[in-house]
Amino acid sequence: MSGYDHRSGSESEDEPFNPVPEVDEDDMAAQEATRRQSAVNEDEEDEEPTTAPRRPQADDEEDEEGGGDDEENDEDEDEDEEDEDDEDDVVARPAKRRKKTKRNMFIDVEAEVDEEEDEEEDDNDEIADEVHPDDLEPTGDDLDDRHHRELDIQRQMHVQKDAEELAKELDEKYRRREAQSARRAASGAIPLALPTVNDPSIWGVKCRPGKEREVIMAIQKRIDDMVRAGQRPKIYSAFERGGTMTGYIYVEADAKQEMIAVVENIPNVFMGQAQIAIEVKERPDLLRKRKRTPLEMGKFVRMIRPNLYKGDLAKVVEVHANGLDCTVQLVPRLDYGLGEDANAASDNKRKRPAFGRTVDRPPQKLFNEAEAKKRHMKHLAQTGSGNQRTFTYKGEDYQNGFLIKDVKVNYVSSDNVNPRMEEMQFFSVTAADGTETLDLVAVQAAQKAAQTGSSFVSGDNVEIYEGEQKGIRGTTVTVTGDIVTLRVTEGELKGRRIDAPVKTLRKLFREGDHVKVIGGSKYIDEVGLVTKLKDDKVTLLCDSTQMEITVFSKDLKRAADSATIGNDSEFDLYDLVQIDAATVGCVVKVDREVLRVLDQQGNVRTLLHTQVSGIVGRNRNAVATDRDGSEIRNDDTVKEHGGESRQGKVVYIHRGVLFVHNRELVENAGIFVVRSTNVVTMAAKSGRTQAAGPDLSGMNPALQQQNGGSNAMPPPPRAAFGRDKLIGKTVTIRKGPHKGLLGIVKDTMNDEARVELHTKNKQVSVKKELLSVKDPITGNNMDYGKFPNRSRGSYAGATPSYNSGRTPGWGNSSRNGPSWGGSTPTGGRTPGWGGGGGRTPGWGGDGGRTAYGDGGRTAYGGDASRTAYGGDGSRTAYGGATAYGGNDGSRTAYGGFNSGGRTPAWGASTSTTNPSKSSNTLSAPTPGAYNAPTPAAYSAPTPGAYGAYSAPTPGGPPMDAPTPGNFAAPTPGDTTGQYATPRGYGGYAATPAAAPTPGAWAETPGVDEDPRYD
Amino acid sequence: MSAGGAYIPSSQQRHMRACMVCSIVRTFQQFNSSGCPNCESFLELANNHEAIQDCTSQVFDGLLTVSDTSKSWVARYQRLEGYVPGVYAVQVEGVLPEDVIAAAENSGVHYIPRDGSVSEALPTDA
Repeated sequence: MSGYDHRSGSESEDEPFNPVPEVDEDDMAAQEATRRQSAVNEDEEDEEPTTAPRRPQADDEEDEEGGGDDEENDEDEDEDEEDEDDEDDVVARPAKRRKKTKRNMFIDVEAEVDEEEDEEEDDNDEIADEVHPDDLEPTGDDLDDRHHRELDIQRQMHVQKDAEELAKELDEKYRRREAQSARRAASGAIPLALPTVNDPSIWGVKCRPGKEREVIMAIQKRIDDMVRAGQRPKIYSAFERGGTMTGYIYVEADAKQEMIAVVENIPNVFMGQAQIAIEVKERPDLLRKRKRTPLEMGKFVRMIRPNLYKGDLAKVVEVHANGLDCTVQLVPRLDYGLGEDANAASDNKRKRPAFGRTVDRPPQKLFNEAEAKKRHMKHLAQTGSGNQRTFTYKGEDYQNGFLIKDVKVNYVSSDNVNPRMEEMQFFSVTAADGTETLDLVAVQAAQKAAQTGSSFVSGDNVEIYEGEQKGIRGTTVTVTGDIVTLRVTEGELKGRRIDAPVKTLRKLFREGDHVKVIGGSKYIDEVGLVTKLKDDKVTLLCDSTQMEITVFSKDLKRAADSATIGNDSEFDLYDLVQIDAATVGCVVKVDREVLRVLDQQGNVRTLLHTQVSGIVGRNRNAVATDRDGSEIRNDDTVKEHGGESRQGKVVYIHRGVLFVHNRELVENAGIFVVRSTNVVTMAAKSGRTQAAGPDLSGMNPALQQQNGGSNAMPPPPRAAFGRDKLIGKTVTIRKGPHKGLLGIVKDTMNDEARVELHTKNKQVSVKKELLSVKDPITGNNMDYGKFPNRSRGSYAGATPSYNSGRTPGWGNSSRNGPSWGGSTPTGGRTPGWGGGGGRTPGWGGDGGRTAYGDGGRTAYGGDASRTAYGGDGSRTAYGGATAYGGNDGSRTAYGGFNSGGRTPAWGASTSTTNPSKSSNTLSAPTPGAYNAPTPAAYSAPTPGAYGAYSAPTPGGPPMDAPTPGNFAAPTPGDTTGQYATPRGYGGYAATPAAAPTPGAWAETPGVDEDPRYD
Repeated sequence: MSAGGAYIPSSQQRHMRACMVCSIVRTFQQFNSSGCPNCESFLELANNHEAIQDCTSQVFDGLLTVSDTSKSWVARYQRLEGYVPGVYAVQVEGVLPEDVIAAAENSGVHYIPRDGSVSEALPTDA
């Protein structure tokens, strides 16, 4: 073999045709061809005699044999270079000859024939040089006859030969062949026929990635077709390299055009892009074989197929003799039929799941016999006995909880396995005493392979623990790929620089070193103090958790910083997370592995990140009510009622539960859980009006009244809260396409009513404000048109009618507070109102009040006072209250009350009510609607509607009468100050007495003393 | 090559196996019915399921169709010279049983594994 190299080297220098003389391999084939040719041509006189007899044995190894023989002829050959001009013509010839010999290689008798052939060829040499090799074939055929004859003669000779002699001959022959093979095997390899410029070219053709094999098969089909049609295929070969050079196929042909002719129009071949001609030098790379890292028992691998276990860590249990299959140990992913659709058709021809990753695969868990029995008893069989707990479940074997599976070696990957510690925990070995120990050797073996230079940084203290330099310690200087340069710090070589492969190095730490975990385990980023060292396992005490953890030294580096925890968690502190369908919780601690979550019951749970289904987030619209009925929104400050009286800011509202945060609390990161009904609102965010201060419901005179036993205030009609009173009423439509039509309200929505028309059997939707309620019998308008609008929103229209119904409700307001005033619990408001009374004088003058009156009053305004209100800008409007007073008995006094300070305005208002209304922006529509109907409305229906009121209603007239009375009394009160107000109230309370307003006054003092008032 | 040519319809492609000796790619059925066209003399695969299992491999890489094993450099490089035209694999995984290797050697075929485990490109001196 060495002769080869030597010779080719010498020859390459003077090979004129070779474009790359420095590449020996390239020369070789060409040179070989030359040699062969020259051997046949010029050197026959000295070569043939030697080669000819040898050939019979040489057989397929012709090249080498020739090589050996030719060594001494090198010089001759060099001189023969000029002959290579016609080499192009002859180049195929040696191959042909070889092919011939190959074909015959299993036929013993061929030896003689071969010799014969050689002679013939020698004879024909002169011709051969000029004639194309193909043309030679017929010559050969012609000679066939002679061959046969010769052969027969030989055979006869053999037969005649002694059997013993024959055996000896054969024996010798085979021994020799064996020796040759052995020699060759020892030498490692036969030199490969490296490509030359004379070989056909190779083009790379683009194709659809993943379809390479199909394309090759399609090309094969075309070749088959051509052969069948008797044509010579235009291409020599085509191949693909699948995974390594995906998206390309390579075609070998003499000319590009020929190649294209074959490849064109094959599906998935992209001819749009130019085909790449592969350079001669690069061609062998196309066929390079990838050496598969051999699988060994006990090694860890990653699964590639089946999809269910893709990427999972597995341990090789056995590698089968054929090298194609191996048995691996896996942590099964089973759902034991829990995910099965019980109603699914029982046919097994289920549709295959979509290509690609399985969407949802069960978690890794050791095989559980009990689980399997639950649903799949029929699939389960126990095969092992004794200690070996072996089951067969659904055709797969499970041993000690592991799945034992036979897979093809190409379905596992031993590259970049990088097992993580948590994956490894399953593969821990249970010792006889029950203690579990990781098979650290296996782990190490697996991790070692994956170790690269990247885990070393300059300045690391390292030790060489393997190889000749074992024991040398030093500091890394540079890291280049997998080679680490270190400066020796101890021993004889101190100060020397040594290069060492990463694989032989481990990092060296000393007890007390402050280190950081930089990879390889779940403890990544943990920082701690080294407490124990054993080989390359380092135990450290974590700074953050004060726990001892053991990691490989390669995963550590010296640390100057401190730990940052949970930087890769998707959950943040104070996130509201969904724990299960009915449970939410607030994250109070984020650890690397777990979350601590305070759930809605106030329990702290420790959950894996994976056990939390997601972040719920904050609902901005969430509202809860506190124990007083005030609404609570996010960010309100609330205080626990009773208990520890903790207070804090509401961070989440979930159903009736508040997650409240108080920075001063230590436990649970300041979060605590309370029921919303168990807190009082301390401050509302963004100044939402809140009933701050004393509970004013006690001040509500009406309420008191009730309690006080005075039955002047009847229980409120509930109608407003039940069914819309408009429903069932006969109405006329006042506007729109159905104007003037009569109908019955069938249903109502917010501000619309469905009216069934009398004329046609048809329901139409009409705005409520466009309806006038008619008395079904008399046909008179009833003042229902403005009909209680429960949403406090639209005052304007609704108010008046509201009033009539509501007035009594007024007293009641503390109860229905929330519904009463959209913005304010009326209960609270009412007193405020009263307060206003106290302030009456100020009020009168208070422009700002106007607005107030408006807002608060709305409810109030519900009354006729509304009217007044509108007018409120000036007291005049207030005067409107007169109408109010007129509204019902109780009001009378009320009105009076109001007017206490107002007297002048009041006076004015009485007369100017209407004008004031007209000036009123609020009631802009109101006047129109009202002016006219009001009297009628009041006079007529009220009595019917409210029996209790009937008496006071007449008080309408008293309106005139009591007013003065009112005037007389309260005015002074007002002047005295706040107390006037109570009096006013008292007056109010007394109102039931109606006309006897004065009498009301008498009572006032009693009320006055009401402690709750203050 | 058999009458139908070397084409393997895509439905059959999942049954493809490659001969570990010559790397020819055929389906199991083809091996079973007609054996390996190149190595049949010593592998004797026809009608021998076990031999097919042992001597052919489902794990191979790189499909290669050759129409002319003598002129093609690819074929020469792949040591396919003298073999029938057809579909071959570039790399075949698997280990041939010892006795089969011996049988191959006895019939004059020097077996070089085609799984890339032996570096052929770099001849080393004995």
